[in-house]
Amino acid sequence: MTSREHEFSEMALPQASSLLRFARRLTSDPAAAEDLVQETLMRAWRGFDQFRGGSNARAWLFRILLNTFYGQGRKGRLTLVPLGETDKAGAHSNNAAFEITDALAKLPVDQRTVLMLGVVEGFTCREMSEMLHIPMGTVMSRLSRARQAMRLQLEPTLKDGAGSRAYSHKES
Amino acid sequence: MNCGDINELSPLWHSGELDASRQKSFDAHIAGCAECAAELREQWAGDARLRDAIAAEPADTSEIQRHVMRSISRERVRHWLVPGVAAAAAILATVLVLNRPKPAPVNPAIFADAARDHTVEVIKQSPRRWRTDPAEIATLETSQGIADSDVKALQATGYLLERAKPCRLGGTPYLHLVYIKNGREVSVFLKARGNQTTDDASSTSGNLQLAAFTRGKVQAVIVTDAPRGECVKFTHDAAAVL
Repeated sequence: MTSREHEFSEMALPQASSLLRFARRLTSDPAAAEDLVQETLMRAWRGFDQFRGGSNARAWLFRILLNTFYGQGRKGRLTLVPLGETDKAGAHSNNAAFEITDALAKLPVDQRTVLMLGVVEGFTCREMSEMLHIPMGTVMSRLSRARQAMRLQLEPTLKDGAGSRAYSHKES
Repeated sequence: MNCGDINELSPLWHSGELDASRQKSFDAHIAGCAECAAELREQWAGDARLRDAIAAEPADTSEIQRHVMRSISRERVRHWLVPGVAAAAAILATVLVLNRPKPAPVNPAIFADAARDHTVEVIKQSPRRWRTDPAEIATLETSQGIADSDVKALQATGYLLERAKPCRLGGTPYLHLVYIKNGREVSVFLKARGNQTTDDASSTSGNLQLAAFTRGKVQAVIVTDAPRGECVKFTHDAAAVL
């Protein structure tokens, strides 16, 4: 392994799990998600010369993944998870966790994307705005709608017991 | 700030992106509004549950990582190998070019013998044992390593094959073929090319026009008493079809 390859592996490979979990939310099946992550990492390697050390490596990798996904999606190689389809990607043994990821899978892809990027991966609204090439106001409204949609889906389940009010949003 | 502002700005509050001024106003509102404070706490809890649910999901990427690093390694090898292979190919091409037999000038004896044969055997029609049967001509072609397709291809010039006989030009065996068009005869002497090629050449001998070239698998010598222009055209056409 060359020093450059070592540098790349140190920077990119620790992000593979996060990328895979995000990819699962975008694609319809685990195999497609793995392909997407693999392709993302290879593209990142080929563009590693353009990556400036010290800049946000995670944001750079997620941006490549999104660009790859939308590029492939337009060609029909990857398909979006149909609205209402249960989350088959992550095999949860935990029922509560399954309910949450199932609710997430039922969100429109734009809401799912900002929820994953903002809430799970911790990107700021500004970073998401740059990653997704949309105004910050759009990111904020998508996040609010996503939280609201999760609340509506989980409310009946959560009212029954554990984890109730996991997602609640005041109507305004 | 009112409750609507809190609702609108809550994504920035969660991500810590409120500037100092708006953060102060935001904090002041939730300090006095139990409903908004509870709402934000619930959102915060819901976010935490989502994070936990996703984090609980198995995500083994070891195979992906192995595949990526193997691919990177292969790309590196290709990166080094391809220029190496290209350089080797260039060297090989140079060696082949340098070792390729250089075209030799046409032996003057060949032109002299061809001119004499055409004069004696075609113009003066001295008795010779010509073959006119296609099967016999084909046998001669085979014995001299000449493809029947080449012999027939020359008829694309508009001249038709009339007869053939073996001969020697400059001491080398050739097949003497006579093609005819509108009563005008052209002698075409063919031999298998082998490793040696000759320069394209032309000459005159009295009223005869002579030309020689190597194309495809044969060396050809053409002799005719036709005007130079017609000889040039025939030669050009013959070279094109061989």
